[in-house]
Amino acid sequence: MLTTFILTKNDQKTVENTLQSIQALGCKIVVGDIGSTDNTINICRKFTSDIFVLKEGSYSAIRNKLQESTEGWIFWINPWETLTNHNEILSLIKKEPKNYRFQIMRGNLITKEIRLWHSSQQLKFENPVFETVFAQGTWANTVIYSLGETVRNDALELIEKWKEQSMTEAVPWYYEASVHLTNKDFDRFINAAEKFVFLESQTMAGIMMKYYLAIVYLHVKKLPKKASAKLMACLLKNPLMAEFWCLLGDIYYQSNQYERARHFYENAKILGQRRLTNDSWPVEINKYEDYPNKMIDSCRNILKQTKAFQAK
Amino acid sequence: MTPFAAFNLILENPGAKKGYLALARYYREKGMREESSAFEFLLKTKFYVDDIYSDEERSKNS
Repeated sequence: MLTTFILTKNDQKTVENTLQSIQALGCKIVVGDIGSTDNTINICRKFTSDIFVLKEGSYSAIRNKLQESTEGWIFWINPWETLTNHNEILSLIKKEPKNYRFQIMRGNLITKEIRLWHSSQQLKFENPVFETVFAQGTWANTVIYSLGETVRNDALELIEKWKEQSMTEAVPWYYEASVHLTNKDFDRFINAAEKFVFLESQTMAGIMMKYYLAIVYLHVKKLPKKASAKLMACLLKNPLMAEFWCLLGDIYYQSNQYERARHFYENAKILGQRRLTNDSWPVEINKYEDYPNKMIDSCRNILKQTKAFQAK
Repeated sequence: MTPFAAFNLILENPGAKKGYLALARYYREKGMREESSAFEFLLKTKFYVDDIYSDEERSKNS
């Protein structure tokens, strides 16, 4: 028995697509609504009668409450996402109870999240915002497509409360930085992100935050030296991330050092292809071939033109 | 050579094999197979270096 859960709030533009995409699973659908004022609930009624309005507690607490009495397999999807293939899920739930990690694709970015598990695993969501399940998971091949940004209006307010309750914890700073980055509030992003990487510098989250800081230092603040210093720590920790080499290429490209930049874009392609596909780091897929190829061509053209100009 | 020094060498001259060689050795000594084999692959692809380890090192590591 499989039950699919969705947590909604003013998702009238996207939720219908989500519900249509899971219909082929032929399973029970449970919707938890956390205060929609638009047409979301009416749209959901076309697909299920199991709709619960829940407003008390954090988003994780609400999700945990929704799934607590469910027996069998549990699948979570967000109301801005669509499932591309139902066959794999239907075959996985015939196997032994396990947790399954799915690839979530937002534009060029792939993140990896546990979305399917059996109730016997007793998995729960953690974090008051950006609810997350922390567990080991077997890889599923199915990709879930995500349409857009997922920051809720009250996220910052909830993070502030979280920070007050756990003064020494680094994690709330990570989420605060993520919200500011999504909202393109770069000064506040830098402030929160620097605090986070100071407290937690060597974990995957810490390294990825240094990478985002390097992007903002380079492309927004035009501070290539600061970007380079952050990026060095990223490359030391995971030299197979093409994303890091591409950004290093960008630093030198912007400084008009095209020969150096070309080498770094080349490294992105060569080292990136040796990266394991099932690691838990996020992936910007365009940084593994399309982007470095484009930039290598650009560097070569500029170098050729410069040579021709000097020859005259 | 520390990995930090090796990366600095690469930053200074990404077209020279010295820094990549040092990293391949460093990751191999640390038992980080994916990383060391990736840098060995880079040395093969970029610099046509087929065998980066001396016989002495190979016997030490075997």
